[in-house]
Amino acid sequence: MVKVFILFFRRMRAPLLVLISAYSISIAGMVLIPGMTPEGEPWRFDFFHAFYFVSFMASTIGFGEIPYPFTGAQRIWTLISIYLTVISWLYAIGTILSLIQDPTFRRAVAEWRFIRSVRRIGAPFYIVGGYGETGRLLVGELCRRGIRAVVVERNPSAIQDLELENLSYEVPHVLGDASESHTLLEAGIRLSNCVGVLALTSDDQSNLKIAIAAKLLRKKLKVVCVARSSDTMANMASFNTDHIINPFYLFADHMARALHAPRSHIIYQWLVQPGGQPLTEPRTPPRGTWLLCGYGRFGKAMARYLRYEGVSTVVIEPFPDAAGAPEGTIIGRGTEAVTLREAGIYEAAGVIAGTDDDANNLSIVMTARDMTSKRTRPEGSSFVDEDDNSPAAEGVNAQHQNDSGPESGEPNRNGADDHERPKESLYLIARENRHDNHLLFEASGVDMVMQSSRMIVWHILSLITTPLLDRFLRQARHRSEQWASDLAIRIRATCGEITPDTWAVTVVRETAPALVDAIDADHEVTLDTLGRHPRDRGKILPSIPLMLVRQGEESLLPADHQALEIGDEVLFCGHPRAEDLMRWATLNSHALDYLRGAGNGPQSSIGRWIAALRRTSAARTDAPHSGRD
Amino acid sequence: MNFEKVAFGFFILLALTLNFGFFLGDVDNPDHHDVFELFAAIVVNLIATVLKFGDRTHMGAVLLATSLVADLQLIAAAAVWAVAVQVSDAGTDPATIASVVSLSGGALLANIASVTLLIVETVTLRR
Repeated sequence: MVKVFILFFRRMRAPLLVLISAYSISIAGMVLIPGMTPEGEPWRFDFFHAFYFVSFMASTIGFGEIPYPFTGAQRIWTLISIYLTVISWLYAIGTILSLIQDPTFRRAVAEWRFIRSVRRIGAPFYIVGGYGETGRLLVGELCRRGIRAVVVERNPSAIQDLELENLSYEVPHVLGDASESHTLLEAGIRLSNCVGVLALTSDDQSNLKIAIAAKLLRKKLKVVCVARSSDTMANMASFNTDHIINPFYLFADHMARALHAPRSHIIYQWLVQPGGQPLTEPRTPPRGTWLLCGYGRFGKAMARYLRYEGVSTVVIEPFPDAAGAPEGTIIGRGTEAVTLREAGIYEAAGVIAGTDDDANNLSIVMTARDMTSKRTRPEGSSFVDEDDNSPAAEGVNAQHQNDSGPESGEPNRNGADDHERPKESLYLIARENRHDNHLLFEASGVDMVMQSSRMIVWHILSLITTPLLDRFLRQARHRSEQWASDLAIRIRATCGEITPDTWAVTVVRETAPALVDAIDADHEVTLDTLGRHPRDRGKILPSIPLMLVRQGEESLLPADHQALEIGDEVLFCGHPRAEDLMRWATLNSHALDYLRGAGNGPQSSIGRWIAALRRTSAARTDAPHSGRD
Repeated sequence: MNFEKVAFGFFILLALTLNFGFFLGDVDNPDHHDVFELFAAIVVNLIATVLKFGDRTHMGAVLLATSLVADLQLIAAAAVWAVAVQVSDAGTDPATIASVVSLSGGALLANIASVTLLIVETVTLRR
């Protein structure tokens, strides 16, 4: 605000001086020049009347010659004054108009507005540094979940995109560099309701700077960073960045898990995705030799994780020396049939198109498919198989918008099936660098698309909204495939053909007052009580308790008869609508009473008082019988 | 020599001298206090105020504050005069003129503070 004032007055200095001089000259002249009353007596303006006259004259309102008709000398002076004052006014107004359009002034005003709207948020909010593809997705999802965000972005066109976005909350935004401390301060990093900083720019160095600045300005703040190279990751980890997300490692881990434990991977896939999307069971990647095109950051991560899983890879890279590719690397891009043949595509189980160029990745995938289908077509076995294959394969890429739910959910095959599949159905993985090309990747029908922004967003969301989910998934990793398979069947039966939502119920007064009251009053509230429909307790809500945390101890898939205690945290998954119904019972004691089967108690204080009186009098009369508790 | 500094010092000093000139004389004697001098003092004070706009330093802020005080006092004095002459029938009686002059005396103090600050700043500035 101060900046805006200073800028305004600095620019307005000259016009204001001109105005003051014009007025004072006109007023002084008016007072000095003698006039005449109608009776012919000499008369002069005093300062008050002169100021009055000049004021309406200068603004060209013009009440006429007041209080007496002017003499010639007065009219000459009036003429001069009119031009003097009107021109000064035009000058002043012109300066104000140009000032309003001035980019520096507008920036100062925008900054002031930004600071004001950040201060007004009131609710907990996150500072999002970088509104690129990832930032846009994340802010949209945060708003959908009712979490407030503040955006700092360097690129003016991205800011314009944000202004056009139809979000359910006001997202304060500013044009600036989030790694600069004053921008972070303006974005409210020191405000008590700022709960975290998310560094999502496409540049590792900027993310690093944001993380450092955030940690220095407020030590305890949660900082989540995206890093794409391992040395930046190590650097961020060195000053206690809370979560470092490397999309390449994330995907490679994903892939390794799919190879290693396909069922548990499916559980992970379903739970991490936002709820309400078609439930698909992606094809399990086969073991065998994989061709890895492009040995950049992504290629290296994939090679490392695949090696760890005991899967051999053949690397194809045009500049093996510069990339530091291992022995036996095939030189080439992988977009030509020659290179792929040399790398042994006919024996390979799958191809990973992992270059940083989308056109090349698409070309690799298409060439690879073309070559393998040409080879097998004469044998005549691949036709049926490929057709059978396509819905599931498409489902993976179209998780967010395809409504092909029933179709893709229908082939309910398990991992063993995939191993029996003839070798010609090559498993194809493509890296998508730009979201603009998403439709092309979808149309190419590859088995898995590596979309870094989407993966980052889901991961961050699960970290922010349900930290318990991360804990659950880490525990679930150590469980058997049979356990995961049973859970998958349970989830499918509970939620139907859409992905489940996950939510946590914490038994503390702030979030679940009704639960706490009931438990305090020594009533037993079990998970089964909570999992029933608050309008009709005969119905069971489509939800599954995934994990119960009691005093830091996690127990997975707690039994329905498990009673809740104060301080418990329970992670549920289920149909997106079930969450609201369950929250109702945790907040509203009448709904909970009904679920417990306690009937309708008195609802008002007076009603409760009368009930208490009755109870005591009943207790007195019943005392001899002593048959009640 | 910087012309801006000359104009700045000139107007601030002139505001003080005009104010002092108006203030000088018997406090309730209309003959000792000229209306033209009050007008000139107001105009020059306003100009001095505008010249002080846009200075981000602490000294600039205090200078601006003193000027605003002086403006307020002088405009109040003019308003008292105008009301006495135009609205009530009192005219320039000793009571009115005394309150006008005492208001301008307040403005004089503010102007003295302003000039003192200016001198202090100039003295500490060794170039």
